[in-house]
Amino acid sequence: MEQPENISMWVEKYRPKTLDEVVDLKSVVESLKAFLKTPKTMPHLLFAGMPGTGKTTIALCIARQLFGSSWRTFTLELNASDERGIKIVRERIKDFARYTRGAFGNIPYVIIILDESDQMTRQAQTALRRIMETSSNTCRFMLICNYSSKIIEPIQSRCAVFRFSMLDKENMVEHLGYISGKENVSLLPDAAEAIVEYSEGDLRRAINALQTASAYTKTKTVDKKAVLRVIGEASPKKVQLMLNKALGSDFVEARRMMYELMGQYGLSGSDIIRQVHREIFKVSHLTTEEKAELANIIGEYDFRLVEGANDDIQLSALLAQFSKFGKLREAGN
Amino acid sequence: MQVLNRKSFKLPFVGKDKFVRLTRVGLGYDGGSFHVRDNNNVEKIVDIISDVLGEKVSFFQTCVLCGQDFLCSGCRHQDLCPTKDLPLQCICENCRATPKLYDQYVKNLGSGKLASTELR
Amino acid sequence: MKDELMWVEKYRPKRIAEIVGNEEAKVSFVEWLRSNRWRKKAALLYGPPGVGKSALVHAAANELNFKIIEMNASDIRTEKAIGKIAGPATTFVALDKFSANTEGSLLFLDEVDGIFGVQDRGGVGAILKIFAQKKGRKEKKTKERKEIQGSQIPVVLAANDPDLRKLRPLRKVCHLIRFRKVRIPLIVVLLQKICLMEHVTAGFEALEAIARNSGGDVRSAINDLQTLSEGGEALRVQDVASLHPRNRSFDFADTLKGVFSAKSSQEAMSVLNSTTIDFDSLVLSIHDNLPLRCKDPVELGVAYDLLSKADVFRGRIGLENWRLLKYFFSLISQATTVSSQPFQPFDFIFPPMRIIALFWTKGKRVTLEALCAKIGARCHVSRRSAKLDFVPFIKAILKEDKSAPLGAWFQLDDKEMGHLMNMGRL
Ligand SMILES: Nc1ncnc2c1ncn2[C@@H]1O[C@H](COP(=O)(O)OP(=O)(O)OP(=O)(O)O)[C@@H](O)[C@H]1O
Ligand SMILES: Nc1ncnc2c1ncn2[C@@H]1O[C@H](COP(=O)(O)OP(=O)(O)OP(=O)(O)O)[C@@H](O)[C@H]1O
Ligand SMILES: [Mg+2]
Ligand SMILES: [Mg+2]
Ligand SMILES: [Zn+2]
Repeated sequence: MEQPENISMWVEKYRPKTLDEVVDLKSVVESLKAFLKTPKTMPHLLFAGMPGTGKTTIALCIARQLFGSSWRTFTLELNASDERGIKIVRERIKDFARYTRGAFGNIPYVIIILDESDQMTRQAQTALRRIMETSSNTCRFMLICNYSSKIIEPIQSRCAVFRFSMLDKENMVEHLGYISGKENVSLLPDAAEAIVEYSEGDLRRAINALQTASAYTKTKTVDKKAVLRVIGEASPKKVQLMLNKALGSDFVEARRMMYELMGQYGLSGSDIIRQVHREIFKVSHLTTEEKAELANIIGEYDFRLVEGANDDIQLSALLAQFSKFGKLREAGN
Repeated sequence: MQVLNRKSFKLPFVGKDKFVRLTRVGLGYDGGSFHVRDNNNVEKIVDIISDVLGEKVSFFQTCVLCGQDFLCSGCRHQDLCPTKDLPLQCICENCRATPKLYDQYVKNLGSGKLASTELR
Repeated sequence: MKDELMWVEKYRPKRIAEIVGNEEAKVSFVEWLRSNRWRKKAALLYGPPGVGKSALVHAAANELNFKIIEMNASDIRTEKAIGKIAGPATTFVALDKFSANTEGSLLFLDEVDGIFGVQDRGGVGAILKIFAQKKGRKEKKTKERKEIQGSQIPVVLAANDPDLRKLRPLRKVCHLIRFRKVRIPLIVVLLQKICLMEHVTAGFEALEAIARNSGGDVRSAINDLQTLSEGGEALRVQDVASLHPRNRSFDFADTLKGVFSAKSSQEAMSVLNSTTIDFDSLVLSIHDNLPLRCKDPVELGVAYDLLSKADVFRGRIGLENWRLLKYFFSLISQATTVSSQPFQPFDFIFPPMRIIALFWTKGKRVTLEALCAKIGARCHVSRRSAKLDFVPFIKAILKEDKSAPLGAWFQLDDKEMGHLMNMGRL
């Protein structure tokens, strides 16, 4: 196992190793601890909640606490959105289950962590359901997702479902303070406040921002100025620019930028739409009602994106709606 | 109007220049008779021969079903036919009335009745 | 449409003899494939759309037991792309000898017209290179020569482009096979057969009218027959009168001009019905060119909304729900006729912007993905999350603190580090 000193990303360095270290999430942690006492009774688990709230962390904690130092041998971690499709997933699971046959101590199963399982197609999920059935006495699945509504019912019904709510702001500030202490930097209160505000309940973002801000200071003191610099630096400028072009009714230029995002960064339609959704609320010259209206439009096209055949067409159409909106707004003023 | 057969035809003596023109478009020549080759640009050949002879030439068509030669002149699709007068496979007026033409067509072709030797 | 399947798919010829017309081309191709290959290493089938070029290659492969390795218009035709797909196929010829009861593989580059344009610079070069490789081997020993060449994978190209000047470089290495429009009586024969199979009652004259209207394009004749017999009643000559005359070669420019200049969506629809462009290229080019036709942002918004819905139908059609095609067409024809301004001719954007955008940046994306895979493995996140949640911060840290050991911890190589530091901001 790596020594903490060698880990250079703070999110990893300070990722809890046991359930007791986990910030917040009291009720989730309590129920899971019960399973640790009688591992045989542990069902398949489904963790749902916003990014950076501890889902993967908790899954890894369970694996560690069940299998001790040999946890890696008995745990298969798969990113559903990275694996090409259910066929590969199925094969890897099969191979893994076969390879680790024979159990660890009194635990008769191995653990399969399927991260981002809401990115799987319905078809893939249906296949997964079969796999869960056929391998139920040798494997326990821990499915992780952002939206449980995107997981088909039959799978949900086979799992104990845990919802991860956004982390509490005070707890986040406290955790950031704890990390700063360990790293020998002092985090000023208004800076901590700004980080938490920026990260919208996502502790991963918060810790990444903290690490970046501390790289910005020579004095080992993270102040608000440093944090604001980080926020500026990490904000998706191109997406904002594209949005502004579209709202300013320069559709052609906005579309060109969309292709740049897809081409240079390999962003998918849903990646871009997600960013657009986040950024739309930051556009300063729009009223709350207008933002709500645009968010509504985004939702509609996000939906079509899933159904349609071409991401770029759906995104262009969305940008064209923004242009239309901008034009009508200008005419109204 | 001069009618030529697709498989081979003779032309009156045309002189060296014209002969070169004819062979340059790919027309085959084997001591005495010419023949159209399958990769020829037949439109061009028809034009050149017409030009060389100073007279419009037509080619016979070959019926894919009965193998007979016939002329386009009697066909009622002449107005629209994209390749009229070019020596190609078609179906003669008599055969057009035959039932189950397609099966017959496939059978003829499948059995090699229109094999390469005949088409060159 | 009555059927789930397009008849052109359902009646795609399985044997060479089932392809009507172009007898000489068929014979020429089969002879080349069977025995004449040592003369020319590749065959180029060219001619107007819908006359059986692709059909012949597939039918011949089927009949003579070749396995087809295919590339078509949607693949990017550049030296690299071709080299990547075709390279291994032509290099590992020897392996094919071992696959029993098949003649081996056949490399089919369909619809190669694109490679003659500027945008795919290098395309022709790449094709020539495939042959050049072979030549290199040929020089080895004359003894082996025949044998090696005989076992080489045949390469077949198909194109519409009648402009032979552009094909000139290929001439030396390609056996040219020309396809002509199919004669009316032959098309009628095929239509009769389909009517029989589909239990469609149709007068001989009606079929003749369809064939005459097709301008020698078998595909469009079959399509028209299917459209017209949708009603389920006996087909009469009068019914055929409603067809859009297929004066043919409705290629890209014609189709785009047709749909954008149409005065009503019905008119645009009738153009769409006779286009030869595949649906995906069609929506993409409409997507690309819409802003040139529709300048007003409000109208443009409406038009794109319709196109977006059309794309949703495209998604639903997938590979089998062809009965939804009419909604797809109808939405597109509405989209292209939104503008209230009179049509002004403009230069069409082609090839699709997507292809250009994605092509030039492929290398960058590959590096970025590799880098993100490493981050993902370290931090238990997907590549997507690595890209969005980590890359901006890592880059910022490294910019500020060159000595930060992040690169080493993520095991990034020099190329990945360089890319990370130099890539623009999201
Ligand atoms: N509840 C928590 N307690 C302590 N640390 C946390 C908690 N949640 C997140 N973190 C920190 O944030 C990092 C990311 O968390 P984690 O990987 O568990 O998020 P996640 O919920 O799986 O997010 P995603 O949905 O994006 O996968 C962890 O490495 C850890 O440092
Ligand atoms: N000569 C023919 N005989 C029988 N069916 C044909 C013939 N030509 C075309 N078809 C029908 O039309 C369909 C499309 O034909 P094909 O794909 O061979 O056209 P193509 O010549 O390759 O045209 P393009 O240049 O547009 O690619 C076939 O699947 C078949 O159903
Ligand atoms: Mg996670
Ligand atoms: Mg084709
Ligand atoms: Zn006959």
